[in-house]
Amino acid sequence: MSSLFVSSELIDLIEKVENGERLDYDAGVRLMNSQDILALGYMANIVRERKNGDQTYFQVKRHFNYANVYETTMVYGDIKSTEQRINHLLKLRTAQDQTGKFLSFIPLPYYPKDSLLDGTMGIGTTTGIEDLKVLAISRILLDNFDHIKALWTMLGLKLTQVSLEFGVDDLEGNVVEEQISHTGESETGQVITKRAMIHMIQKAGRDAVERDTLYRILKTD
Amino acid sequence: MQTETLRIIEKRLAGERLSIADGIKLFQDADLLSLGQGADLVREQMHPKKVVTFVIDRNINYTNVCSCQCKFCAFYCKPGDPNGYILSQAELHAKIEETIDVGGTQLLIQGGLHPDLDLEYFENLLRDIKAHYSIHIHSFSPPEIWDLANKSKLPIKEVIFRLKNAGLDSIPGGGAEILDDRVRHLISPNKINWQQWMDVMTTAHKLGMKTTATMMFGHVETFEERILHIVRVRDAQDQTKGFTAFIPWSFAPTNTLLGGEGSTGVEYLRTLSVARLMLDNVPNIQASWVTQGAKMAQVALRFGANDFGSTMLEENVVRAAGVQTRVPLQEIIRCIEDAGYQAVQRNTHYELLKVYRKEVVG
Repeated sequence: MSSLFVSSELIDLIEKVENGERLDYDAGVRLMNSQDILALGYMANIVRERKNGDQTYFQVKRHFNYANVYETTMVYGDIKSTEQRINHLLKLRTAQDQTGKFLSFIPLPYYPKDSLLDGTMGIGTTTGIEDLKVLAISRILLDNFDHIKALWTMLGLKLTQVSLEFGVDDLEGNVVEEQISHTGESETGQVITKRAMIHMIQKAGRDAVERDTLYRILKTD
Repeated sequence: MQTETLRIIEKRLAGERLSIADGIKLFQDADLLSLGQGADLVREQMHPKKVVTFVIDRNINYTNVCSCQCKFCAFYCKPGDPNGYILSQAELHAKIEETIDVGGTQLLIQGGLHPDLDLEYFENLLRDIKAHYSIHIHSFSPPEIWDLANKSKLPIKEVIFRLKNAGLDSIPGGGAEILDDRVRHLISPNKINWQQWMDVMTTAHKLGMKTTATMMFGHVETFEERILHIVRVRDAQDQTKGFTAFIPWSFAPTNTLLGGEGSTGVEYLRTLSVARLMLDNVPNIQASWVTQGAKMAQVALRFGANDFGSTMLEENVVRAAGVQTRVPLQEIIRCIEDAGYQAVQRNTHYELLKVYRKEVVG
């Protein structure tokens, strides 16, 4: 597969990632300024599969827990510059080297109060490419974090599924055991059933793993 | 496994045509990123300037009454249903004027197969529009044209010729679904077969009209049938060179008889990439923001698509199937520029009209 990327501007970084080398600040800036999202995905996928294979985690629960101490985050899509974003990620990486306490990292797209969600593209929301870039670059740079999470309620289910090839191994968002009321197409809803989540993960060629808060496996599908 | 699909992708990058077996193998085994990278490189070969085009137009449905009643459709009304309508001339004119006011260059007029509307109705419709407005009419579809041929007992060629003379400029690729009769029999038994669809298009091409080709996937079809569809378009294109674009999109199950799971984001990007790799003779591949949403449509620009489709002031057919997306012009520009391309407005024939800048549109 890497022969397809030989003409990429990021080929030297691709080789580093393939060799398991840590990327520095300058490399991070190059990644964030690059438009070559497929090369970014390729690198992120190498790291993802190295750490988690095909396993894709989700929890059956209702609310995103902002107070989860095992998780850290970065808001993007606001006014932060490339340099600020990379600095933020590398600070987290250093902290993780020292304490090893974080289990997961979840980038959060910035949404102004009244904007529309999911595919409707209100003014000021993040684009699909930006979402995938931030997820992929987080996966590449945060080589000491086990899990990179995507929040499906903000990305939409279609893009979330695609993100499983761009570094994501963990999905956050409301998952219920079964549908209580008929809400129609889950793309525009804010709830997904466990069955639909498993189906989506499997259709991406990954294994669906139901977990608890501490990443203990409850059930594999 | 990976080396075989890699070999196929590299074969295409070297300029060789892919076989049906190659295409099936890609669907079965190729991973998403390899497909995307292959498709992206082919797109770059075919469109070296970093431009993504779009058209400003309006979809106008002159009627929702339909005798075809396809199982995947959430839009139709049966003849006699009180919710059925036919647009009045005043309503049509108002919609056209709104379109021209926002800089629209194209009208995409389509409707169900209404039992009472004959060839004369359509000729009058077209003549009336051309008499009052200067705008490109990219309208109807092979099922509508065959319906007129049956009603008027005229050959296809004459129906198209008359429509062209009355003002029809080009024909959209609707009604293609999957160009395979096993599938068509299951999902739309009342519809024309695949060869009838192709007949309309090749006949139109020979009369000097351009058309597009579409594909609606993600229901009962197999990988092989998707590839057959693509290859059938490719074969016809070898003969007539009349297809300007290929537009794949996924079936949306809500409110339809067919129902089911629908198709996923990954499947959409894979299909788009395979289409770009297989169709070496069709210049443009359109992303479908209508069925995928703007986030995915933008990502599609790196998976083989070089066109963002239409700004579509109005869209009723897919919306009936519960897909809710509206993408204003400035968001289309932002999507295209954020993906690293220049946004250029085009006409129906993919001629470049005007460069749009994010800051200027505002």
